[in-house]
Amino acid sequence: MSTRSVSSKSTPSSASEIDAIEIRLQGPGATTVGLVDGAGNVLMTRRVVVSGPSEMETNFQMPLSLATTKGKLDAVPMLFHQTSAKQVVTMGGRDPAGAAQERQRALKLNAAAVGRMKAAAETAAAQIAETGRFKPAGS
Amino acid sequence: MATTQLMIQILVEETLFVPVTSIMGLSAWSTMNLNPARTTVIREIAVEDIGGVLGLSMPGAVNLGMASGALAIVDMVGAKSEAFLMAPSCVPSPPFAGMERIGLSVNAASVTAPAGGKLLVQSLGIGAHVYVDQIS
Repeated sequence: MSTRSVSSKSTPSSASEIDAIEIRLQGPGATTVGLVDGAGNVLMTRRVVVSGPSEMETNFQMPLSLATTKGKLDAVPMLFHQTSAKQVVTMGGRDPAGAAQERQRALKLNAAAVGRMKAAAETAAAQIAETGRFKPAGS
Repeated sequence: MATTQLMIQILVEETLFVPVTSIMGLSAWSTMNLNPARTTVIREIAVEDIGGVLGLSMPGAVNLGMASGALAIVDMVGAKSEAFLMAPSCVPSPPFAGMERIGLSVNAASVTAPAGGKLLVQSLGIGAHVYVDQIS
């Protein structure tokens, strides 16, 4: 998994110290990627909508952690939703599921945490498919 | 004179569900191929942003609000030349010959609160488009 700005500090002091992964979209469509922690909380989402010819290619960065008031929160980027089945998504050069598994291994998450993340991603996907947006419970 | 009209449009939206002290800048870039045998004219480049950041508990007890702001850039490359244009532009560019590939990038700056401060931000978005005419 390719990342940038690797930091050894537990709390990033600036945005440039936050690790990130590059996500590539081949083809047009609307894609939602979420950042999920080991407790199954969705910390943030990024929705990227692109229009143009079918051979177009789009790249963007997704953080692997967030600098919060409680310190650095490590998380796993997960593909939540795509409007186009033809659009190919890769994260750090890998398929999204493989990239998420690699990040989960890097964070030494146990099976229960992985299960919570999977459930969170499935809930988000269902909500986005139904309403077009994701809103976590209680927010 | 035959004209092929092409477009790239990008929208990036970020929604945060936890209080943060730092936000990584939003950015995305898209590329597509051009026909180098045709003359390329950039008909329009536009950029928009939505949302903003409110800095709370800042040293000096002053809360600070900022619009996210966004910058869009179009760059084209050919075997013998390259070109670089910025948004906003709603009049046609000069014609460019031999361009093979075009890219549109849109960027917003990252934001970090000073020690003790925090950022209140729920949703930020940036978007851009470029309309391209290829003329034979």
